Amino acid sequence: MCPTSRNFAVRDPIIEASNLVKTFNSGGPFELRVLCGVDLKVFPNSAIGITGSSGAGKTTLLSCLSLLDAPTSGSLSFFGQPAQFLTEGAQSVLRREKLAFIFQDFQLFEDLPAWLNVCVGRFVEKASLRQLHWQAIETLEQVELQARADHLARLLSGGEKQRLAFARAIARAPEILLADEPTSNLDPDTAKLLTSRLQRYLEQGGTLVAASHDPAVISLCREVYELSEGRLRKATQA
Amino acid sequence: MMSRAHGFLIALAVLWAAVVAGLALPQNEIRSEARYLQRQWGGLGLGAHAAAGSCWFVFDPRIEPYCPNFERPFSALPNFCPRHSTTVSRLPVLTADAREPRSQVLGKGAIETLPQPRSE
Amino acid sequence: MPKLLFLAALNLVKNPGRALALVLGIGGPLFLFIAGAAISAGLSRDATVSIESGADIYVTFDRGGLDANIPVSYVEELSKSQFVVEVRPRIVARLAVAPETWALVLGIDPIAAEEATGLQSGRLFESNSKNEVALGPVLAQRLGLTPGKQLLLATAFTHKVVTVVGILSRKGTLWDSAVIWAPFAQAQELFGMRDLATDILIRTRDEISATRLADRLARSEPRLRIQTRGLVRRYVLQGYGVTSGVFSAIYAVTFASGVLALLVISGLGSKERRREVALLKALGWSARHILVLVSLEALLCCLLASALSFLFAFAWVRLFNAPLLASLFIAELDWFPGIEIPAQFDAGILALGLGVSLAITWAGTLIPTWRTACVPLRETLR
Repeated sequence: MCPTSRNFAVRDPIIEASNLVKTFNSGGPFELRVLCGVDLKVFPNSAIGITGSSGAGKTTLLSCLSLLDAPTSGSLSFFGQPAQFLTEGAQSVLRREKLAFIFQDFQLFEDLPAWLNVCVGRFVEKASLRQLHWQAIETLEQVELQARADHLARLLSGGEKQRLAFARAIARAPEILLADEPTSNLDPDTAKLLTSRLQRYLEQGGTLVAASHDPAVISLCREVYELSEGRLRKATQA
Repeated sequence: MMSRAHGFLIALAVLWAAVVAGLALPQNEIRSEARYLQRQWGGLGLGAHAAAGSCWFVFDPRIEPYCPNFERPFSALPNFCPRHSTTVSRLPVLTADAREPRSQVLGKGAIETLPQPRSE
Repeated sequence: MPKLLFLAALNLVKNPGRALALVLGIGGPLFLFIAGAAISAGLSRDATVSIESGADIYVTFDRGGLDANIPVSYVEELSKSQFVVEVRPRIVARLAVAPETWALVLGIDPIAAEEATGLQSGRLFESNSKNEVALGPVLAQRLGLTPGKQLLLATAFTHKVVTVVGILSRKGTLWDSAVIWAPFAQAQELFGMRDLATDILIRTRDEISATRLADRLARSEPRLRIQTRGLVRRYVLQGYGVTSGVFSAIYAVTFASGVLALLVISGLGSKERRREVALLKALGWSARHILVLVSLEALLCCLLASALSFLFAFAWVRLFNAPLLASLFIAELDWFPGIEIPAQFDAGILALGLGVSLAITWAGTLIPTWRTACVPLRETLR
């Protein structure tokens, strides 16, 4: 069952993390505590920026917030429903219909064409292959990558891969977009293009949680936090 | 890439059509030559053995209903002769209920010693 | 489902090396299995011909559980029975005709009434002929004999030169290949079996008559070994069935271990594959969807492998007469058999092969995929 089918008030947080702890190699000789009690509420149509030095745990935090990773302790809820009560099927529905993630290292299907990378996540939906194809082309147009639609992902440049990863994330018009360094591999012009697309996404009512060092991306965010020593501290209130 | 995937599926369908065609070909026909010779000879050959070179039993258990290697070297354990192990047919001993138990026959003491031409 | 099928096909096409390794790994053993099972089925069919065209009752003497020769005088005695239509004595023996070349000498008089359709060349000898024989095709080819040529047959009792008058057809059964067919009296002389035969063949009015006669003979003459057509049919066909089952079972086990090892080696559990599974999950696929996709990939692989192996086996056995292969399954056969190899390909064999390969491939792919799908995604994507 999709978590949003419950009675969910519009101003309730979409994601609520409380005292989130993430430890790697727990109990081992090289135990690494990355998150030490993080509290965060992500409200609808908000834009949250997370900054911090390399290795501070930004990617780990976003992974936990997007159900890609499980926290060691603490509570996490999506649309008011505790994550531990979400079945595997409900998590899939959440990822498919509500959440989208832009990976720092793109995570593309390298041997598939660009258009298929955009729509492969939707193959389990009812739309026909032809419909998905055209929607993918339209999405690629938004990131000016339509000319590369039939090219294999591995043949694209780093910047093009970043745009493709962005296109894949926004193709499903997600309620919340979690972006891990979405402009880190781009030249200034393309970074500007993607920033403007993020801006448009927010204007259309989307919710953004972005980990970034890029001032242009951070400037889009109304709340900015700094992750340091495993704790989240509010840096700026827009 | 897309066309290659479709091509693969089409090729697979064509291959299976060929398989179905192969299966539809008449295969059960018994050749008149085979019928003629078997009638002439009163039936010769049953197992997967082309020439009865070393094991009559595998060639045709009607001719020799028993393979001595069945119980050697360990009695009570089947130990097939090489002719058995190379074939796709393992024929049963035909005599189980066709005659009286061997001990009874032997008990009557009426066995004639006759030449055995088969191991010539 | 069509989209998933398309994606499964795409996954195979985009990794041709992996797909080829899988198809060869599955198809190679499947080719042998299909060919072996088809040859077994063909032999079973020819055995049916041998049984149905043969005698109703085979009578011989029993000596300590082994067959012994039977006096020919029994022919006359048996002919008196009301159930009997025809009684024929026969000699079946083995003879070395050249170094490492054994021939099966069959001494039985031909039924003159029938038109000789089983000859490839030459003619059939007369029953009263003293030194004429017909040869099986493989033996004739091996010895380089054609009609009109002579052959020395030597036994411990005598040696005589016979003339080859006919060569048997290559389209007979497997068991004709190395036969020397001679008149009964000539075989008697050759093996010193005066007044003796190795067995006596009886044709009766019908199967019930055969059963009655067999019962009567068994009661009246305990020295006789009596085998009826019904008994032979039941045991032989059951034997073929059991053998096919055992063959299939052993093959399935061997095949399973081979393919499972191949699946591990070919990288269905590789890092790249695990990353793809995790990425699909990250994009919203459920474990069920991923398992369906992987099942479809395995299905396509198995369908391709089984179709190719069936077609190769069919061509190899039916068109080329199973060179190098038939001798694996049939004893005393040359690598290039000179006789038509019996084979019967049916849908059951193919379905069994496909089913076994599917079961194995599914077992080998679905379990690792399921385990990958259960690991936290970040761990796999890292």
